[in-house]
Amino acid sequence: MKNVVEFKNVHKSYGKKKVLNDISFNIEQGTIVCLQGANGAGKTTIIKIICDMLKVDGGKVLFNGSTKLIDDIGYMSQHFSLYKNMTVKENMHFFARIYNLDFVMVDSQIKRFGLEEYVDYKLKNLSGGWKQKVSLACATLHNPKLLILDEPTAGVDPVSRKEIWDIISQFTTDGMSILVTTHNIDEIFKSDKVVFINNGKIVLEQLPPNKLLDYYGIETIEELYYRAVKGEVYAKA
Amino acid sequence: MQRLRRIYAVCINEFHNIKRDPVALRIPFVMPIVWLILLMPTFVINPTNLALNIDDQINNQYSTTIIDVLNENENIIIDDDATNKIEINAEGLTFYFDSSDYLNSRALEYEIKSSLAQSSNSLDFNTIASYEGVNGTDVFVILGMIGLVIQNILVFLSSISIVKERENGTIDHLLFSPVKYNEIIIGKLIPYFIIGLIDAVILVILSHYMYNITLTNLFMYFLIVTLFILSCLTLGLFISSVSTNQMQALLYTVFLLLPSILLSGFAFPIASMPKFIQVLSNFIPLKHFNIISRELIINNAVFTELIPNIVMLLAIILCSGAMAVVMLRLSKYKHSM
Repeated sequence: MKNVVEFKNVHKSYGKKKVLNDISFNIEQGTIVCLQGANGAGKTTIIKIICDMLKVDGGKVLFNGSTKLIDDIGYMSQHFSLYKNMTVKENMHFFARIYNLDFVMVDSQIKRFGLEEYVDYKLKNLSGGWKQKVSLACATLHNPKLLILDEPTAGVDPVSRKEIWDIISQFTTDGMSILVTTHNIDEIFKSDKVVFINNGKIVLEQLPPNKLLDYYGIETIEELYYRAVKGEVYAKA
Repeated sequence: MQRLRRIYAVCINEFHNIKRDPVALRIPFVMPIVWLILLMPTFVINPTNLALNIDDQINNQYSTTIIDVLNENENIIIDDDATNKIEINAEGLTFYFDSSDYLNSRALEYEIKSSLAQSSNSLDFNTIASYEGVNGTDVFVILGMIGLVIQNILVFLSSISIVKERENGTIDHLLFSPVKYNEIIIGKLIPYFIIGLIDAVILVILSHYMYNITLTNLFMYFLIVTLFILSCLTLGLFISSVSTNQMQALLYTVFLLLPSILLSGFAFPIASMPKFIQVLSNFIPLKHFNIISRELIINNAVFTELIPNIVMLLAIILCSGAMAVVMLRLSKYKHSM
């Protein structure tokens, strides 16, 4: 399968502090890659590099096999960052305008996300779950090739979480590649591949979550991650 | 005791907050030093370097004596290109008062009077003001006020427009999208431009009905207002693009606005200020707007006479606009996410 993004031996430091140390992984087309790690592990640095907000110190980042950046990226930030004083529809129209899309796309997106009832609500009046759905709807309105989700379900109730993940899964069937970070450990199982990072290094084999547990012979993902951080298990590659 | 401890906790927390914003911490200490050095010389109580054009039409001993007396005055500089002119002819002395340069003209009138009073040929003279409207002083002040109000409102509004989005995180969407940096700046500028124009119309109408001042050359005046509004907005957007939070933007704005008022020639004559401050004043849009609007309304100046100040306004718009775009581009790497 074609690689949309490929990190090859990437190094990055902030001053003397090394935040990424020989990072190599890839995101294949139509797959969900889950970037897992504690706060400060280097996840946001990876996202910033993909979004051209940081330059690497060493190694290469390839987009569709080339070093040329792709501008067809959808991004949903960790912190809710839409216009709170505007309605759902106004926010989506704003995104449609900046991506030069027809408003018909907005209507279909509203239906897809089940937002019909809330289109005229100001975002500040919506619950956390609905806000995240609107954020996701806006980030994917232009049907990007690569979608970056930075903790999309943080602070969201279980019902909304399931709905959000159902929508995310649908996107991959349309060929969208997704890079997701999450602290909800059970959500790892929704991904096709997990990349565990600790202190800027990949600490476990990059495998689908179930295979990962079998590979290390450990029952729970929490236990595996804990032991990886403690240096009791490690990536062999 | 518990109350004191709680107050102490709030106080220490506030100190930490201040400490963690280096720009906000620096400005309150840099501002008084820069202001004191820069602004002290702008408070001109006794104007100097007053340029006077002498038109001696009789050229006899009487006129030579008068010229000598005026030459002896240290505050007067004889300059053939000066707009304030004293005419000496057979009928006596006439002082042509340039109403568009009201502060200097008034000071000059006083200096001429006192010089002549001290001379042995104690003489009186007629003053003819260049402006024949209702009240020269009112027009001078109102034109300055219009500029001042527009500048303050627009720089404040535009200076928080980008930084507000940065604080809310909404700027990330713009920086990720196909929208170009200059498109962001232009898009942000248009609403405030409309607000500025409406403000200018309100001020012109109010000055007509409240102070009985009718501005002539309105078409040309509003063309100049357009340039002035754009210069204020690009300056404000530049401030916004370099600020990390709204507090910083407000501090930068205050830091800029007070000097701009004093260096605009609204309150004190620029010609009497030190040379380096006069050079500095060329970067203040309000100065050029005041000169242009007074020349246009009070002296009925033609377009060609206004070109140097129009060019300066255009230069300020282009420079601060370009800097705002560059800083916004750099901020993508500094502030986002």
